[in-house]
Amino acid sequence: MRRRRPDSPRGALLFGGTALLAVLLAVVALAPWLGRFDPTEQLVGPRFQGPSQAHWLGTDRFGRDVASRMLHGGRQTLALSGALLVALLAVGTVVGAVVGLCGRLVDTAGQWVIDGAVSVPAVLVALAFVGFRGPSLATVLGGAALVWWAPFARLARALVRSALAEPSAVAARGLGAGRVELLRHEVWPRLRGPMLLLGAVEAGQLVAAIAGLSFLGFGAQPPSPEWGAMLEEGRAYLATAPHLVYAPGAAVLLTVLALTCISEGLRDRLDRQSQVVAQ
Amino acid sequence: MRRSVGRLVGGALAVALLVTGCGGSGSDGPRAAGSTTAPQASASTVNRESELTIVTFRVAGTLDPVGTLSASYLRSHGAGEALMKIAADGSVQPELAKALEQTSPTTWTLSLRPNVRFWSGAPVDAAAVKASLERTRVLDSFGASFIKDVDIAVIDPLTIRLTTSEPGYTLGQSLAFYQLLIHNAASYGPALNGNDVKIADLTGPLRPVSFTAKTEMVLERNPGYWGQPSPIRRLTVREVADPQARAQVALAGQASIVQDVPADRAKEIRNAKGPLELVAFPAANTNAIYLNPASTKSPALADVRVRQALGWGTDRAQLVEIATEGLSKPMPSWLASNPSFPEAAAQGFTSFDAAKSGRLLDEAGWRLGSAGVRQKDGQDLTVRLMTWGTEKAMGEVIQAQWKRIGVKVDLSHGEHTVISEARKVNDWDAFTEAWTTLGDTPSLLANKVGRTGSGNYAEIDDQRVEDLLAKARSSADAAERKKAMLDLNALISDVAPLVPTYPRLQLTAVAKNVQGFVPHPLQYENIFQIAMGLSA
Amino acid sequence: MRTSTASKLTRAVAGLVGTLAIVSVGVFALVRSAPGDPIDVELGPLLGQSGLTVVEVAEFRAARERELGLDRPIPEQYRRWLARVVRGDLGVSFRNRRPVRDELVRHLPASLALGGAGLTVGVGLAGGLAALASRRPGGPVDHAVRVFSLVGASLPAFLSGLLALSVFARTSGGYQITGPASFGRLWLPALVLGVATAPTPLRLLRSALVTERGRLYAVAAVARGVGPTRLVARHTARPAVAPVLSMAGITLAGLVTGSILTETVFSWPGLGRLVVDAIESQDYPVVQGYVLVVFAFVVVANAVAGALQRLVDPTVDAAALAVT
Repeated sequence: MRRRRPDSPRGALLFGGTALLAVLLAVVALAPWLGRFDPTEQLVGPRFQGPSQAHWLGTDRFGRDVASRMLHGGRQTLALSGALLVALLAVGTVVGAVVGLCGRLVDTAGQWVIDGAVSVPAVLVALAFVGFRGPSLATVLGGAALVWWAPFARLARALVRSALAEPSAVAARGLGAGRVELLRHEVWPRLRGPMLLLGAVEAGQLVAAIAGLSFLGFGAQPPSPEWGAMLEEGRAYLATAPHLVYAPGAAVLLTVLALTCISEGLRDRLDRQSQVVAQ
Repeated sequence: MRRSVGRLVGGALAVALLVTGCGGSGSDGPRAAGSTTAPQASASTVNRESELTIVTFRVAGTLDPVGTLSASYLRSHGAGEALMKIAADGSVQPELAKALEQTSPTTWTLSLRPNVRFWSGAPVDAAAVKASLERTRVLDSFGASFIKDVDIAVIDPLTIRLTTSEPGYTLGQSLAFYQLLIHNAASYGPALNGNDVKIADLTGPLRPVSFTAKTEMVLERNPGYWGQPSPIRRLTVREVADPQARAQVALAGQASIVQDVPADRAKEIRNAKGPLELVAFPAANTNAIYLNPASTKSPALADVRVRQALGWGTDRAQLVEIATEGLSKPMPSWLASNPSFPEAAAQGFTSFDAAKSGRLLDEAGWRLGSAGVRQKDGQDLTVRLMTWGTEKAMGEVIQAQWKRIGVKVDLSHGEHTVISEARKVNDWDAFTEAWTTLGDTPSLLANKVGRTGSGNYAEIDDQRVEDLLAKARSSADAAERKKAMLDLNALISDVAPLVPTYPRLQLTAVAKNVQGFVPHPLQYENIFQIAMGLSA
Repeated sequence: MRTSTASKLTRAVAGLVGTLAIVSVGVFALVRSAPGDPIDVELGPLLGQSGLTVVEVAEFRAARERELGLDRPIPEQYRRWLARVVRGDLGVSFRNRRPVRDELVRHLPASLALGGAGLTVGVGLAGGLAALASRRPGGPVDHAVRVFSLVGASLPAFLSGLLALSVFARTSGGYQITGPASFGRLWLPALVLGVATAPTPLRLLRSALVTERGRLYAVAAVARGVGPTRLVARHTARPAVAPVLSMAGITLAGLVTGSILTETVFSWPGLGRLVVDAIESQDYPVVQGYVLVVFAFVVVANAVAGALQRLVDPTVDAAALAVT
């Protein structure tokens, strides 16, 4: 039987994705120094100017410097998405692990809650919140967070249970290992990889969802330079000043692309690991 | 099969860039303000079997004029008529009625045209007109407010006597209001009933033959119309709520008329030189920033000098340039958008005067601090400005402009209900709103600054205002009434409960082969005109 | 102790009802938490124009409150509301006074058409590309498909929709931006939606196909001389489909949310556009109706898909699935 050759670009995919994300984060973190203008100051140059030496990404309808807005907006978008993701990951993992470790009753109830929350699309919840409480970035994130912890919980629970069912774990328990030791030596190593992978997958979706909702006008509000909001503002000028759409559009695309590459790379790495284990 | 990272990621990026398209055309500098005259097609020959398509931001919600968000659209698209109407120069003219005569400060005689019929053939006589107005009174509180305390008496089949409880001179303007469309009360019945084209019974030159609320209405020529027949045989009205999509329709020429084209696409549409041309006309509708003198979080607003300083510190020309692409015009006082009061353009904040603004603020004790924000007793001068609807851009420009005079603006854009809620608990500093100035002007004014007005957000309680309102309403001399309104306008600029900015922009795209489109200060109800049609 | 199928079924249904009940409470709470009550929304900005005095407005408001039952205690309001909802009475739109149920029904076909077309395009693309790519893993076609998958997953549907419009809808003879939900207008949004939906099933199908091809029985078939098409169609497709069923839930969610954005960009009169318009005009009954109906639908569909998937292939590893 022909052995499936390991596809080498996959390792490179992980590396490339991580590198791209690191670059994006670094650039955005250096916003106050890289951005030469105040992102909300108007008429720092002629309006609707395309990319030029004075303004690397041009100016918008208010004469604000697009590059500075992009950098600061990126801070908002990435910091908020990142923070939210970490929170969701943490909460989801803990809940899922607890549910998986506890007895039958808790497990059944917990599964029911998790399945219910997973089946509801987060964007829909965010939309519902916005529909009744008015548009704002906080509302969108809050609404989405209400159900977006669930995929992590579901995975964590499944992993915990399957880890505990492994022969090595059963043996360890038979030899008298305590819960904490089991967690550290049997569960955690099997939890890490897949949770990280799911985190990467969901991160990309989160950034795209926030951008989409802001594009509809339901997320960040003026004069916030958030990327989705910039897309919404620039949409009208697609024919006359396309740089207003391309800049934030490319930023969103690159971010999601980086996260997608990371998740693909991680996935392959995990596949390979599990293949090795299986053999 | 080794592929380098670079090539793979580079390939992805290349595809991404290809998909996102190559660079677009360069942009022109800002164009001069739009034309205010209708496009001139060959004036003589009009196709008497014209078929037009209108794309609008909202199709009538129901075919029943007492419903909300219905009557103005029915009128606008040629289906409904009221007893009177307001012409483009601001004067009030008979529409369905033949004449309206005031016989005493409280009595009016309305003469009807003979042989006018509803679509069903029922006669539009005095009894029918009274039934229509009474039905509105019962079912529509908004419309009812325009015939509040007006007694309607049938004298003979073509004459009605109207008696008001107080002396007044604006009944004609009230009767011109769109919520008072004359409709066949017997056909519609005692409750809101507007979804069936067979039940709908109005008087207009076009009548709907198919209707899907919020989507489409198709109208055809009414053969029994009392006046000159319309050249339009068939009119299709379609709703496209998204302003960007409407702009796309205008660009692609996929309609004869597109209403409410967003100003931010104006340049693109002009550059494209397509089959539709833009007609920009300022509305008789004042956009203003309302201030709260009783604000708890921004006590500075209690001082009239601070409020005046905000008015002088607003660069309206720049605001118009940025927020409306130069298509509207600066407006120094709220009455200035009403075409019947050209003198109002010389009242109020007639120029941008940052120096005066600074002086007023200094006098009021608010001095420039180190961070560029004015301070008094250690407190910053901050104003929370709430915008909603189409005024997002206005808010952002105002924030930048007031920053230059040392006022820090906390901007938030949301829904009108957020603003209503904030007002209920007196937790607001400033918000934007636009309001009509043409119609029963003394009543509109009373609503805004009168003691009991529901639109009196700053809770002004000033006897001078009440006296001028009384004069504007009931003084027998027309010149004195006009002067009272102008004096009131000047007084309001002094008291400064609001900062007027510019009249609402009405931007319509009209196909070059459409004749008879008339720019109008109340364009939203005046799209269709009786002479309108396609060039032959 | 083995539970019987019947009791498993009852448990599942009970769980579903419970979820829906919680969703209903959540939606009700959300609606009531909205700033401004329905009357504010009705009166709204018109207040500044009317000749009504403050006293008259207060009277009008009180009368409407009694009419709408807003003066009753909250638990009673919830009971009455739930009773109406279960009966199918979802209230009346603020904007045009038509029953919300009718509005939803009217917009449903357009969404179904777009969703169905988008799904077909997406799955078709995914299937075709996966089959092509899995023939030679690591080869040039595989890499090209990979790139397409990456870009498709990274490019938000609204962005690609915008750009597609600006390319195809330039002239009066081009793609019609407005109009009813006709088949002539369906292709472009379906394409955009399909491209956005394809990447996930594509990845899954591809790896499943590759795995299955590598299996003994597939290799044996190839050795027997079975051609590549027949191999896929008759042998490897079925086991590869099971994971895709499990993906159905996520794909469905993606379609629902993707349609909201796509319908807005293309002025497609479906449910997504209905809810966006309703949110913008604060037509709370319509938003509420949409949320209830779509939530219920998604929850039920997920449960059904889960059950189907367990039926088709009970041996599928839950952990591996969950990672997708």
